[in-house]
Amino acid sequence: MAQDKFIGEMEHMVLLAVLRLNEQAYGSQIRQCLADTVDRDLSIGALYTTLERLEQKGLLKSRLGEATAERGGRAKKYFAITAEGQQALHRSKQALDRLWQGLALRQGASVTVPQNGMEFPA
Amino acid sequence: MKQSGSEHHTKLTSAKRPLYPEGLPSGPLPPALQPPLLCQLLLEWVLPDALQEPVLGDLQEEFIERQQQSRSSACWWYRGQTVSTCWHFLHQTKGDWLMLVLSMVFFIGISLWAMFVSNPADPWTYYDFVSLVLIFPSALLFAVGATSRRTLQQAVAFLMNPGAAAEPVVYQQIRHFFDVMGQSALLLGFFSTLIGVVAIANAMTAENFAASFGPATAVCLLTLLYGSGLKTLCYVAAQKVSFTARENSRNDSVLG
Repeated sequence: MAQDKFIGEMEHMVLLAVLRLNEQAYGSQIRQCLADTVDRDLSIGALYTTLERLEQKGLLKSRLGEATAERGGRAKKYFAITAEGQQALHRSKQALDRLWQGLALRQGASVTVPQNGMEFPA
Repeated sequence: MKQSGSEHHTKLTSAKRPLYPEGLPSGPLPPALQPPLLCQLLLEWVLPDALQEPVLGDLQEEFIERQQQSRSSACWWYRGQTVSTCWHFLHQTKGDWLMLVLSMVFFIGISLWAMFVSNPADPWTYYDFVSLVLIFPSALLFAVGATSRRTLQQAVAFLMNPGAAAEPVVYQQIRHFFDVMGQSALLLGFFSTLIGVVAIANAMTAENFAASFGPATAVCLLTLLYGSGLKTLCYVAAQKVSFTARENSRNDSVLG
């Protein structure tokens, strides 16, 4: 059931990268998107492990695409986010937004909580 | 200084000057555009079947981009990706193989350690080339002779990939191969020890008894040691074959 599925930070990033790339989401492009956008240089092995896991959870679906000469005649595997995947992202974002509510990061030092006056080291 | 991922990718995109502006030639890629062959073979061995095409294709695509700047750094990048990919998939696809190899390496390692500890002054006491030749090639030849060369190939393929499905009769043949090899090794060990005992008894005199009996007996027992070692390894391999055959037949019956 979608309600029971929680996603980790890496899964969150990969799902968002797939969403951003829309029709062009395959291994190399997802890797490049993560490197360009969040400076995360994932190895192809780590990326495919995450993609496989998300597919098993039903948050992604995939299809084989065309084979090109620069790929040595090998087909691309395109990924697309499922409705469950979108729900999981939405839920994760809402949870993070709720947790961040009322908190502000002071640059380089600590997290401030305006109401109760408690401070936590960052 | 470490180059960040985005910097590198931006550099790649901006420095893209295709070697083949009119497009890549059809057919197999020219050798200059091929990534290291060993890495490709390793990836094909480690990756699950369903992922071989997309992963190797993605790596190839990025390798071509990178090697426009420097072939050497592109090769190192490819090797790094290979190691990382193997690390992520080895336990998933080759877990059976890994455990079998680890158990054998552990047995060999612990035996070598025991030999070293028992005689630290001269650990080469346990090495005798003639005894090795008497046991290992002979046992292998007996096994091939009693089965077939094809069974040897199947046995090697099984050791490289125990999880691969095969017909029940193939498992029986592979098991038979390991049984013959192990038994032959042990029997050859006894036989060679007897040769040594006869030679010792024949050359023994009252004068040289104290000086030569101990070392000569130790050398003649080495064949028995090697034979027992090989028998142990073959026993484990044969048990692995039986286990895999049972697992596969159970899976087949579950799938109907």
